[in-house]
Amino acid sequence: MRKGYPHFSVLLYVLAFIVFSGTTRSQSSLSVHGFLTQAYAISSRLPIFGIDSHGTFDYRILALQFRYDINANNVVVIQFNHRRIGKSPLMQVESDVSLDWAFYEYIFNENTSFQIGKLLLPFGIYNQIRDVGVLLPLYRAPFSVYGEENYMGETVDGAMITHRFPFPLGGELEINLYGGRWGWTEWYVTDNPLTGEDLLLIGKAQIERGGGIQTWIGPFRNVLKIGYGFHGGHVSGGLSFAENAAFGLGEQNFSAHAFSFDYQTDRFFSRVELIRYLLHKTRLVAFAHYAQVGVNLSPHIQGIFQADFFRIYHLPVPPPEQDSPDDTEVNLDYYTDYALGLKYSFTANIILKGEYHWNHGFLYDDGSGGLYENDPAKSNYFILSLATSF
Amino acid sequence: MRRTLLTTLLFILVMWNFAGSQTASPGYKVIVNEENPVSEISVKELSKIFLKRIRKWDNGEKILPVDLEESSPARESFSREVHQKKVSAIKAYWQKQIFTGRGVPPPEKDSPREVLQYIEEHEGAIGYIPENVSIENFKVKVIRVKAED
Repeated sequence: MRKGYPHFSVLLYVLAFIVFSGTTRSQSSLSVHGFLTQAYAISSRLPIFGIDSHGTFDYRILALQFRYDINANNVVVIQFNHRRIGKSPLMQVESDVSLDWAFYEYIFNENTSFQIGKLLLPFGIYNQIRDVGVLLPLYRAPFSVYGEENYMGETVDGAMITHRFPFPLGGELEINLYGGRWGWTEWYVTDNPLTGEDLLLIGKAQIERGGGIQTWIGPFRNVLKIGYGFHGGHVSGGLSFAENAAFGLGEQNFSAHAFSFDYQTDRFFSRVELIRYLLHKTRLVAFAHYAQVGVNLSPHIQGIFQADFFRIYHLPVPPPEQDSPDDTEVNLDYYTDYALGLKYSFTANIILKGEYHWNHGFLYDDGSGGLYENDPAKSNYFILSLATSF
Repeated sequence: MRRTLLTTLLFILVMWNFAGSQTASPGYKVIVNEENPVSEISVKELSKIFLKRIRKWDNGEKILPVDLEESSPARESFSREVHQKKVSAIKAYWQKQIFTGRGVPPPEKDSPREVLQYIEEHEGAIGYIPENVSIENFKVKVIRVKAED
């Protein structure tokens, strides 16, 4: 689809919503579903996540999904998306419509299935539903753990097997085992040495021989699920992982361990996740964690608090930036983000959210000069969004 | 590290504080096609069937669960009693299943009469209707719901 017609996607969604929103009343082999979250966002000062102090309505995520149940054991699913992130530099390379994911699934029985294709990485609580506004407490999944393509795979080109076992202490044990390849988007804004203007550098690092496991146990007492995930592979290319690259860390192996706690009752929910990334050659460690608490203030209104943290250890300092010969690496509080949100559910499929974030760190979009030249800064922002699905 | 410990502690404290259970009167009866040999079913099996975690009857026939529409009091009772969740939580479960490509929910019918017609027309179907609705003139039967397996 040509660039310049983003509203076409919204019209297509609205049309599909009208035509297919009643399909749950019938049981057919082909089903069509979709979601749309449209937002207005404004920052108090520095631009962040494509949000500047002038505000923007150009902030949305939309998807259409087509599912065909060939029979009880064979399924094909494909989903397309359209995303706008305001004035984010990433918009220079974002297509209007792109393939989100597509896979074939063979269901062996109630407890075992096999998927192959472009799959949602089964990572943590939110990765597989990271864009589904009606399921997220705030506009986006916590950035520290889930990112937005940067150093975080959203999908894997490969295969996955899922199996569930009864768990003696309650609930069940679910294991998702997957392998394949995926990518990490990297981008930086730097100074153009010729013009002095901002210059966007963007690259895609490749994860080869990638694989991982995501396990879940529970729910205990029907309210608590605990998860553990591991994934790793060999990363190369992009801006940081090519040999002799400008931001050279060099190609190397990486691994990640993640723990998830998800507690949910009718009145309350709390989620905590922690992830630790390790780049094996450079010993760089990224430690991200967040906590969310939500309380139902009435049958339709929920209050949400989120605290989100990201810290980097052993970040190499390039020679031109070193103050002394011993100054070869640095530990960095990359950012902290506290958010308060209020969610109003008209129905399970139509939800209005307002949220305010207090952010401090290096996440702001105007990062010209990079981590080594800039100071951390405050970039508070507000997002009002309406999420729908059918 | 201190922040991590604090957030984890907060999570654990609030988690136990809010733990509780709900009770609700059934207000519904479970029905299947009259050709179906099943005469009773456990609450756990019933929940798994309506979450499509059990897909076939013992005789190999495909199970076709059918729900009442979300504002129906019988659905609220069924959801509380069988899934031990509110209807909105079950709707959220299905949103997650849909958008991870894992499955689609059972069809929803606007009235008990439509549920009865659907079950009459499909041998593998199972549904529920308000307790006070008669099944006379429909080729369906009520099955007993056991509290335990």
